Amino acid sequence: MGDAVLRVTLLNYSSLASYGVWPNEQEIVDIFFVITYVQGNIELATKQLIDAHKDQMYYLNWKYDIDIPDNATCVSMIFEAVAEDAAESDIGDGKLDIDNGFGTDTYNVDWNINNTSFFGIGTDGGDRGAYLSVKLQVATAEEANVIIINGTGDGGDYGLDEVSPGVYRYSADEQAYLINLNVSSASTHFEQGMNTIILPRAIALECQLNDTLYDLGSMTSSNVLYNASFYSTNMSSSTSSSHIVVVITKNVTAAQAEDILEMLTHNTTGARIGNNVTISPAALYLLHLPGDILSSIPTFIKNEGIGEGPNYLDPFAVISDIAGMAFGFLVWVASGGLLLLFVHLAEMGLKAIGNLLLAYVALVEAAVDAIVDAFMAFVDWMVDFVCSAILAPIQSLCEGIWNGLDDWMMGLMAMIDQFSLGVEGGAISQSSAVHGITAYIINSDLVKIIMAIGLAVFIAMLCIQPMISPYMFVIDLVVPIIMMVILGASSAFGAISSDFGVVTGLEDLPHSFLGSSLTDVSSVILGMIFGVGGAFLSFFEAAITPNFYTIVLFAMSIVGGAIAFWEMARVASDAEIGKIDVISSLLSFSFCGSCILLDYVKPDKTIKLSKDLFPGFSRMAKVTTLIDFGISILGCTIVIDAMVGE
Amino acid sequence: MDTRQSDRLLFIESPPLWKGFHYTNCYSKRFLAETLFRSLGLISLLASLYIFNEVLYKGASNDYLFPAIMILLGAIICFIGGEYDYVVYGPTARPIKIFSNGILLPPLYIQHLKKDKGLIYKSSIISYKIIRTEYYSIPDSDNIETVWRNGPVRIEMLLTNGKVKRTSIKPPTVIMAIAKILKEDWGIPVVDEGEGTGTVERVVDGKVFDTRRI
Repeated sequence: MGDAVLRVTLLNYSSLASYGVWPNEQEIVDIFFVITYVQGNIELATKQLIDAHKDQMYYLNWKYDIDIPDNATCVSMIFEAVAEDAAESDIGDGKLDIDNGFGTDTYNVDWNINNTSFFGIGTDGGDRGAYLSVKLQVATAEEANVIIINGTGDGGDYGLDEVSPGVYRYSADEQAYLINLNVSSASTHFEQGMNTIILPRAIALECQLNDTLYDLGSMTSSNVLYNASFYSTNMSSSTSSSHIVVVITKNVTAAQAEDILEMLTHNTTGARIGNNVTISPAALYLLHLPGDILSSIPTFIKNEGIGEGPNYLDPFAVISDIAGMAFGFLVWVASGGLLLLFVHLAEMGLKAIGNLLLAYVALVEAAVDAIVDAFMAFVDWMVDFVCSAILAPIQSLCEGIWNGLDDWMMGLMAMIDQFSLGVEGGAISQSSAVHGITAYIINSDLVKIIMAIGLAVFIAMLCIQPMISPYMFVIDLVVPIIMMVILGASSAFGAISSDFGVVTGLEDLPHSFLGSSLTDVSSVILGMIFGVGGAFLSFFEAAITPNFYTIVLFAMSIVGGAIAFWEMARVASDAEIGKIDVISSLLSFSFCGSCILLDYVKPDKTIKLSKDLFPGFSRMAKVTTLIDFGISILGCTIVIDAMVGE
Repeated sequence: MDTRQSDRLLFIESPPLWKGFHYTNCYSKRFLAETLFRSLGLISLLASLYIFNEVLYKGASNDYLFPAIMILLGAIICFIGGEYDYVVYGPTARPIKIFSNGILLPPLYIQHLKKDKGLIYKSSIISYKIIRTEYYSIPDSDNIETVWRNGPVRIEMLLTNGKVKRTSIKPPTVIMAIAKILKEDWGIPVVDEGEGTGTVERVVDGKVFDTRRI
């Protein structure tokens, strides 16, 4: 995991001689040090020891952590002591001599790592002679305090699943904003030091932060994000991060950090759109974060601050850049090999767009625009994917329904007629007739096909849930499409519309009963299918939330839907319509309507399981209940129209 | 000495559980549901009887047996739903009262007509037991709830006639308030296998944000 760090402690320092030669001889200079980890090609410049006097021993105890491989067995270190702007003007900064007589001016250490610490001294005499004692030891880095924002929605929260008590799994938007805050003191949600907030893009584009980024022109110094560093995708880079689209860094107070958190979890109207969950460092790896996000979480490290590198040595043009970062101290990243967050972000194709100031309005807005465009393109793709993933396996089943519907209905009508005659003639009992009709309905292929479709949708939704769960808003977009296709709406406009022709018993409905205002036979067809499909989807809700209310509402829905279905089939077969039909239809309407009312006054906790299992499914069930209600109204209207017509 | 009717009121269960329509278990919602169930059930029963009468005695087509049976089935479902809601959910949404001479659980059915509304007299209670549950939730809003772990949610009272009277499920704070009166004011021995009101958690969108042991 790259947790091992080499803790370098600069213990004591003393200038043994004046720096420079007469007449530029200096006895008081500013001193800083350059530490190089050879194997990792890592180099850093420390902060400065101001006004270091000659022949005076300074107790430094400056600690710096350097990322090393966990399996490292030896380290090679190079220490330099540098005099800032030494009087020898032709050189600039001057290198002091701490080479123990080896002629390199640098103190070089090769340490075979073991359980004990390494102590060493680099010193030399002469004009630039100095003394530096150091200590090396291996330690374990601890990741920053991580806060994850997960979304709230009508279908439940998304983005963070609790797989077991206290253990969460990140399942949010693949693209994320990282907000690194160096907090000066602990607060309710933040710890002193480095804190990283992972903000899924879908929430970022909805929260107050987005408005702030789009309105940088009016940002004042009182804004908590004023002058924060803003990094985003480098369009000209050959590489880019798969998951990080924005990094924002800032030094803040505890109060400011809390304000920023508020900004990230609420929208412009003040409504909460996200929850913040603090993840302990120990549980961080259990989140299953994308690799580049995990590697970009800074670590808590020991460091005493850095400064600009010596002007005689800046081979990678990095150290001076780092000194300009928002943080006044060194920031490490968890992955091995790279030292600084700045460098790490550059490697991932991110670049510093600028600070959140008026001067960078255009650049920041352009970056956010690009993110929004990418997001919308992704949503379009997701809708297409979900629809095709669900519709493909059930398309043939839908056709099966249409192909078998007329036979099923004719068979039902024939059976009812047969049993009616049998009962009237005394050949069979009424109970036997009812039993026979019930058996016909329950055992029919049509019902099985509808159940199979419902089951297929249910399974398909469960299968793709891990993928779509971060985007529950997509469910709102795709459910109507899915429902239309499942329940026959697409066939009204699509390739199998010719199948209407086989439903001969219903062909004359528009002219016979519905009048000029409803001239499309598909209304009735859809109504019937909706009624049956809705009832079975309600059944699935009752199956996954087996409590009193869901079962009762399911049963009432079945009763209401069955009566409405029966009445419409009766109308379709040109049966004589009487007041009993009207009463039955009105009661069908009442049953279905009551289901809707009762669904909203039922006691709490009846939908908790379904919300846990699949938030979108509960919503689908509500939709179908409403559709069930619609079919009952339609059935009632048809029956009344038919009666009036006669 | 008992006066065989309610005496001075000592305690009445307070909101929020049964007060205010926005609470999912509020009494007004329960009343609406029960009324709807019963009304629809009654209408359905009359309608099915009418259809049966038409079919059996007035020569209507036997085709109508199907809707008649379905409507009768619907009536039965409605009655079951209404009475279950009334007996199980109703008392949870209605307040428990304690008088100086007894405890009044929300009366059911014929108890309403009695003078004492089914008051359980202090002298008839031998002992009582506090029933705890691993999980009890009080919803504060759509996404915020207060969850009690191992909290007391019900009291079982052993009466002198050998019967056991149980309160409906109530919030732990209510149960402990009642238990305190029974124990300290009335001196009735208590059986409690737990301690206090258990652990309370503040849960937002399914995640625990605060935990306190009370």
